[in-house]
Amino acid sequence: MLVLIGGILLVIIGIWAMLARKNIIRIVIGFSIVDTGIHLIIVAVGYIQNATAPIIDSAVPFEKTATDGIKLASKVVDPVPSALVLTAIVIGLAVTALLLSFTIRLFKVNGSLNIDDYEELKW
Amino acid sequence: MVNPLVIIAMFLGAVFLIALLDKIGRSLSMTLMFMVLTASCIMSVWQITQLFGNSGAATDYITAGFRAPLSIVLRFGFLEAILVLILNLLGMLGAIYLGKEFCEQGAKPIALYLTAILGATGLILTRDIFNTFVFLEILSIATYALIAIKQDKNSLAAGIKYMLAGGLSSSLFLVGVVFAYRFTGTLNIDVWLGMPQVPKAGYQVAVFLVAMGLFIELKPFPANGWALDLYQSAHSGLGAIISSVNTAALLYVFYKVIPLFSPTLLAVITGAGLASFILANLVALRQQNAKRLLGYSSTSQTGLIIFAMGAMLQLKVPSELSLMVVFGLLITNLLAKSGLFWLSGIMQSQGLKSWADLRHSGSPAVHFALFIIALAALPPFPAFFAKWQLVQLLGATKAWVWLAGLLLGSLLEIVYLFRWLGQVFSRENEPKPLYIDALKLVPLLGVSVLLVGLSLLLGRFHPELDISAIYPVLAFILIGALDFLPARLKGLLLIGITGYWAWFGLLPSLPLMGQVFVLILVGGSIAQIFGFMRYQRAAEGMFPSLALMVFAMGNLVVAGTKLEFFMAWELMTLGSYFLVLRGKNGRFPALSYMVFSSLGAYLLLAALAMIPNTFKGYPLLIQTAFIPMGEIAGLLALLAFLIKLGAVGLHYWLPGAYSEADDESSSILSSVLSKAGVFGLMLVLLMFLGKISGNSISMVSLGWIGVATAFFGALMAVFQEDAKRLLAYSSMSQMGYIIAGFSLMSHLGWVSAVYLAINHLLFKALIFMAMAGVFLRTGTRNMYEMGGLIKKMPIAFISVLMGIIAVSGVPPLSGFGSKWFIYTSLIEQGRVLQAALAFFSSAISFLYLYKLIHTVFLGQAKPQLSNVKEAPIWLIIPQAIFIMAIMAISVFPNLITKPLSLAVGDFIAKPEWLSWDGYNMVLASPWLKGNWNGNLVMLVTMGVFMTPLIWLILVNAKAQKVKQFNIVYAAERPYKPWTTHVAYNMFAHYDKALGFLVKPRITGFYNGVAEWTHSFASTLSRLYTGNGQTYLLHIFLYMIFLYSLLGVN
Repeated sequence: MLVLIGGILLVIIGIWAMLARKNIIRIVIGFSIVDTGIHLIIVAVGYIQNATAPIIDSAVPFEKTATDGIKLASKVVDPVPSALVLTAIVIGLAVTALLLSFTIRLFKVNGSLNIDDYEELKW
Repeated sequence: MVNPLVIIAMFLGAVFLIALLDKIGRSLSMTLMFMVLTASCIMSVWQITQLFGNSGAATDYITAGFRAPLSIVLRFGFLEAILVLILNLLGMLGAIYLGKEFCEQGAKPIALYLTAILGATGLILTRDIFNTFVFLEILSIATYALIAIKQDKNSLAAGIKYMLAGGLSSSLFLVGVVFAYRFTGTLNIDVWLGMPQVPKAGYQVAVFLVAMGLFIELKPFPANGWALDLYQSAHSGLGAIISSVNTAALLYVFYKVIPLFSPTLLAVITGAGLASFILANLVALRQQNAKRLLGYSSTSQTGLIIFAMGAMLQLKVPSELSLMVVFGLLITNLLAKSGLFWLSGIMQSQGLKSWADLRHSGSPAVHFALFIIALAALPPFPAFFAKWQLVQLLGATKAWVWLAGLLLGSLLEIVYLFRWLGQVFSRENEPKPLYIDALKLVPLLGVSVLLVGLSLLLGRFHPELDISAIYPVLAFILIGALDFLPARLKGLLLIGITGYWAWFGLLPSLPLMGQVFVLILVGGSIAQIFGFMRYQRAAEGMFPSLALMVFAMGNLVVAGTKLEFFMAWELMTLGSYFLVLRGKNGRFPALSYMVFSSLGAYLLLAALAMIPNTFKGYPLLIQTAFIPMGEIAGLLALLAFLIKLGAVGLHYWLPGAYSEADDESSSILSSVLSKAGVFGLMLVLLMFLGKISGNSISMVSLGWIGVATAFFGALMAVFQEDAKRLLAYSSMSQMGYIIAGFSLMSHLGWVSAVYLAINHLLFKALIFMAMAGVFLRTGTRNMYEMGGLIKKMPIAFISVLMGIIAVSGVPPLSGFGSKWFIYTSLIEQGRVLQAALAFFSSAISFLYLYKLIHTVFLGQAKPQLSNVKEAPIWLIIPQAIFIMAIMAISVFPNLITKPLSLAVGDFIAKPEWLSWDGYNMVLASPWLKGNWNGNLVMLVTMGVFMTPLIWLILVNAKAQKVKQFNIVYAAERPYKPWTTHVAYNMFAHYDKALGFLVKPRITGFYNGVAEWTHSFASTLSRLYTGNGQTYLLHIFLYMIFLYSLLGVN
């Protein structure tokens, strides 16, 4: 629960940074914070209280049945969100890196990092 | 059968290989890219053919050896294969377009480009929602990175805005997916679809987030500022890919998940789609930058497709049908939009005005017109059929609000698309030479061929269409392909094929009334095509449009199904639009003509959606008795046709369209095309025969509209200085009489209306053709600059004289008969006041006719017109035809009244008191008695005319001849000499008395509407401040707004 709340808090902080800061680098940082918050939320969704890691070894007693394959005798954390979050982290990293590289290019071309200086295209 | 994993693996392998191969040689990496794209096209085609033979085959492919919920499932069914094929084809064409950039910048953009296509392909294939997210990000990141192929400030800044918005929406999507997983326990879309709705608020929020993530990526209004900036600044080749490949893939994902939506969410998204369609089109009205305009258009089209999906799902339309609609809209948008983006890359400047440079560029101009017409959902393109089907469905389910919104948005779209088209093809703008890279023409040609091929296939195999429905298009293509030939050859060819078709194809299959209208619409056109043959050279663009219009008018009469009728109607409008646009000052008149015609067409479309299907193969004329048309449908259809007829209040477009076209085109437009409106009006009234009598309020009001049109048309004609405008208003006035005649719903009323229609064709074409010669020789249209032309152009004088005698309705010419019929039938039904106003209008028409003949042909000859000679033979041939026709029906009126009476008799029985006795029409109604013998009248008049003539000839010898300037001037020479000409402001005194009636109020009203709409659009467009953060805020606010509409706690 704490993780979930923390994630939501991070998302809100990140969104605030994206909307309120003028420096593009800070906006990118805000985006990154949102991303991290979302990752926390994902992990929190899969977490089950008092469950163990979803690795089938001696800590998790199980029995084989004819129809369902493996039946676990104790609670494990849902492995899917954890798997998803790995993918999400990688993707978030890629987007952040790309954003930063565009920012640097933009700074080289125009010498400003203030997002208000890039309003030429409008209406 | 192909395992889709092969495609994905092939792309991935190629992306990594390209980096290596590029070190060896650029051509190697390029070849590999094209090979991969070709291979995936071939695989999809293979899959399609395999599925054709075996429709029950399993199309789901599991991965990693597990079954559905445990692993990612890919589906490569029929639909997916078609989409993959299209996306890869577009990808290939786009790669050709970007060839230069790829050659210069090497492996990186090539690999990124392939990755983007891979992402789109994956989005189509996958049935797993998280996998969707992954492919979405593959597509997005590749696209983001591709923006950098153009490294200027605006492009990079737009890239950052795009990434922030895209990142945000994919985050929303991700959160939604994970929460939905928490409630459902699976990530497989098909398992989701099979599950009952989870009745928890949390689940609804999760689905909402999934929906929003996708929806924002689809750039809905107003959360689309980032996309607009990107479209405007990014490389055109990339814009094309984003607006076609990315959008199509995302729309398909949306299509996959839309059945998950709760009814309220579905309603909200549907509404948001429609709002996006309407408002994006509205804001686009003020846009001057072509690429940004395309961005708006992209938003609006995507909105339309989402609206169509949602609406049809809500209305529980069978999925095959809704797929057809969505596919029709989608494919047109994909091809046309990417084509337009590619074109924008060819242009040096993005101002709409500078696009006039395209005009003399040859094939790109043709492509451009094609794309614009396709986007506007006009026939024969797939979007037309899709929109037609959509409107029919909305009509059948009585979804009136949606229908109205759809039509409103479409009308706004017409305005800016055709304004743009006008900028390119109007002769007002002078084009500059354009340098075009030949390689960039390949993709344009590719999408054009795809579009046209698909359209013809659709037209050919559409169940509601006969093969003849695509004849106008075929004629357009045929004559268009021969457009380099001299005008005379094309004219002869056109006369040949239309004549053959009318004689062997149209006439035999029609009842008498239909034959009459074929004679008017096609026969009248053929006689005037001679006039078009006066051009020495090719007269580019004229004959194809003419062919399109004439064939469409013929189709109008034989149309059996609603769709056939509507398609012919739209094609006719399109052909005539191009004729108007061809005029020297035709840009604005053509636009207003198109907008009003489209308004009419949409009203007609709505009306048609309210009546049941009609039968193929039988002309509508003989089906009308079985078509139950409601009053609202009738009213809408009536309005549509009144717009075409230029009834008073709806005539804004009329003077411009009829007067600013080339002279021959004006002739055909005002004499023939207006009769298409007459035909439509008659069809509508036919459906109400027996239900509504001539004395009902509705018909009496229609009669008043008719006589008011006659009156105001005549009055406005009186005050014109420009002969063509005078004739245009005269046409309007004559249409008024026809409307009044039809409104009587009686035998005599209808006979007189059709009689007048034929008459109007004859004399208006006659006068117009004669005046065309005058304009050609004098080089002006202002009557006060002419004068004394009787000696120079005697044939034209005789034609105009005959014409105006016929118009004014005095004996002995046929005009008398038609007018007399109208008055008689009006009085016979007790509409004395209407008859009086009609009579008064005829009196007014004397004024303008007098002005026409007096100031042009009589009076003082102008020195500067001293070497004017008679018009070319090509303009005289039609005059001769029409004079002979007028003489024939004047001397033997029963040649025409009897067949007309028979034709009308098929619908309304001839009353006892009316009889045709030899050449004598006998009236013996309790109200009115009388008879008319055209033959006798002619003989008497000839006698009356000949006596003074002979006497004058005898006394002529005694007359003293003086030279023209045998007069004495006194006092000063006036500062503006022409103001002293008798023809200048000729009826100033009447202007004082009646002029207040014809102050341009209607014009003012429509101008006001237009201005108000444009300022509203301008205000709305201020939403897009250009600030990236504002755009993010828009996204949040938009989301909150939609969420609040949901009403979920």
